Amino acid sequence: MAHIIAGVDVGNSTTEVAIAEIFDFDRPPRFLSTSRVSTTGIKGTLSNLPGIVIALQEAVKNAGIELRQLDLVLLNEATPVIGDIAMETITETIITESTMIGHNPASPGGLGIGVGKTIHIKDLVNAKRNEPLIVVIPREYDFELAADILRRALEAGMDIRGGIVQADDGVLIANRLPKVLPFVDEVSLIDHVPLNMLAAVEVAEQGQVIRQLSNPYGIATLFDLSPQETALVVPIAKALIGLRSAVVIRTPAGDVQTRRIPAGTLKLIGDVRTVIVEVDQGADAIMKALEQVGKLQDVEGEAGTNVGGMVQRVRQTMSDVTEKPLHEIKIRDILAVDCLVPQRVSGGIAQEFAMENAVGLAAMVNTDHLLMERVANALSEEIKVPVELGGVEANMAILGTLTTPGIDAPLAILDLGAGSTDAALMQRDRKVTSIHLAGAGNMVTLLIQRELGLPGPSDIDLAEQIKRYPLAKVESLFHIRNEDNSVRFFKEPLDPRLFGRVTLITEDGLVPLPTDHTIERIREVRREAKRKVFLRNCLRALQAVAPLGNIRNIDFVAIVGGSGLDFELSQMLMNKLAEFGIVVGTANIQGRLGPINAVATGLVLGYLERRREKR
Amino acid sequence: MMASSTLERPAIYISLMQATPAEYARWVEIGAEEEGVPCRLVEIEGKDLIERAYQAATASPLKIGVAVSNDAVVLHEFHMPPHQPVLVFDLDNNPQRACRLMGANAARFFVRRPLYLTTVTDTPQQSPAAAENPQNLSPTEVKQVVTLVLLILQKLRERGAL
Repeated sequence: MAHIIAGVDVGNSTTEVAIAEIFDFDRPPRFLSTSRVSTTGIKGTLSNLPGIVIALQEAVKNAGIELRQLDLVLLNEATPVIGDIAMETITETIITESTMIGHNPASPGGLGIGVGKTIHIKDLVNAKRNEPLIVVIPREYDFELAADILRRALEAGMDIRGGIVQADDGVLIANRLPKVLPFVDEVSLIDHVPLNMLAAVEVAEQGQVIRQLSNPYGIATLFDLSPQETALVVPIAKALIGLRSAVVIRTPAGDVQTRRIPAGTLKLIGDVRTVIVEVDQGADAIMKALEQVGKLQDVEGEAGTNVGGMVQRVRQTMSDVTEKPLHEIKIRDILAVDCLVPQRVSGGIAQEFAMENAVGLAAMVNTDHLLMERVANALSEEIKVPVELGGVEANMAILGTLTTPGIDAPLAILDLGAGSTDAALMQRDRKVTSIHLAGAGNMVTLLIQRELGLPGPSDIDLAEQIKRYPLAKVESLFHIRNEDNSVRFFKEPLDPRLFGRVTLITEDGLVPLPTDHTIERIREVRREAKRKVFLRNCLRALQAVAPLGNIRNIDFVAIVGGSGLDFELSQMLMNKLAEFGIVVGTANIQGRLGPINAVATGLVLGYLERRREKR
Repeated sequence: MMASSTLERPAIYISLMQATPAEYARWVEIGAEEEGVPCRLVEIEGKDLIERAYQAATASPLKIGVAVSNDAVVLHEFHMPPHQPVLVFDLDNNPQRACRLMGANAARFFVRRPLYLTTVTDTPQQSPAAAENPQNLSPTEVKQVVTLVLLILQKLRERGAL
């Protein structure tokens, strides 16, 4: 009576299939093949069909059979949750009149700090003798010409204190002058530099950063500011921290401000109580409030604020996906994460960036069974094979995980997916308890994208890659330095395009990253994003399923799901959970698949179990 | 004259082919100077440009050499296979730019910063920057943009796209 069944698990990011041959219900099935392809469309919608079909076709091909030879397809039951992520900055720096150039040209010229009135180089001949000057040099003035004019002006007794240069000529000009003066170069929008205004130019020594202009009191000293005015320059100083060169220009009406966008409040409605929390108090405050409300019933954002817009967008997306009216969409979990994102300063001259505070929010809504049933019916029609819904996802994940060699109940699993972080606890002779939390792999990707300032839509792929692969710096055409400082040599010279770049070490070789961030910074952002999302969520999830709500009552945890493949996450988790005396390991489904395919495998096993019980 | 003294100040070596303007070599030097690495013009033998660049690299205390002719400028490094230079730029219609960039590249090679890979302008365009900074638009410019947008919308409506 041998028949062949397939378990299909549609996840937020991938669709996984396990095909097995069943002889009789008392014997374990023989797994023939598996497959894993990208999910098409949002989990739980009819647009999943193409992905499911491709995954099935791939799996039957691997098994050496035809699609029509399948006797039954089992689909994971009612995806209980779908999530969405969003991020909003809660501060913004605006310069109402251009007053600042703070950037990091590769090679500013000269050294030191100079304060004077801005003057166009062509007007230098008419300038007063004893007035301190900062010379503005547009691209039309070749470095030799510019240096020549400046040198003669200096010899004539002009008091030149520094310069602002449009071309990449700062060093060349500075080198050709009789005295050492600071020159900031590569100021692309030089026509926006106001003339006849008091300006300060600072260039730090190589390997150093500017001190005076990144210090509010430093700026106050140079420009003789009142305490009120000093308060206004704080955002300027903040934006200039860590740079090697900068210019600050004082315009009479000029005033830079950090506008605090009303971030708004979140109303967390729980079954125990309702708490209203200010979003700008940060992620920790939000998460603490969340703990107080009991089981979350819904979330509302204050209307007319950023967070209000965010919650509304999540609701709208979910409403579109589930085709349920807006008011029926209830948010059942949120994860808030603090981050610092680079934002272009509105009104800056050289495309300056300031690091602004932002809050990332992952939200999750519950869906109902109808959705997946619809998918099952459509699938059955399409492939002409009976399709059944095969049981609660968490239970199936546990069954699949139990195929890992050396594993036994009692056991908790952490399913680290793309859309949600799930946990389930299996104890002997008790019902499996499970929980689904908002925020997982996709949230990590979003954090990496925003914190590294990779704004374009195609850059989400880049962020995804950064999440997945370790980094290396190409130090010569023959060697790279890995992020752990080890060095690897090559026989053949590398592509000059890779030279000096931070690259990802992928299966397809080295991939250069088109950013100027240092390897340390990228690594820090990557690990911090994983920590903020996965570590926090794993603790929350385990706490929720732990006997008596105490995480220490869990002894064994197995990691499953796509994010379990992550090259560093499982170690990070092990380190963290060891504090609670928990043994953590990555599952090895069917003894060979690693942490993936748990649910698909579990669907097959669950089917057998149900048939056994029926007899 | 090329000196092999060990007391010599470290520098990138530049070799100039016969009948090539001396200013080409000077542009290479300027490119390297802006990046803060010293350069020196030296007399090097070699049958072609690539061999000269390689010989310059071999002789250079920094093991980096640049050779320039009327048609091209070549960056070489001592560890590379002699026939395989790191980068070659054709001088085309802007020899000054090509030479300066290759000088900058030679210096960047030493300080381990990413190289300029083409001589095509890659400085940030000014217009998109201005577009992203609406504050920087003059009122007339804003007016022009608004008129344009309205025009496009009207055209789209006529075609039934809206």
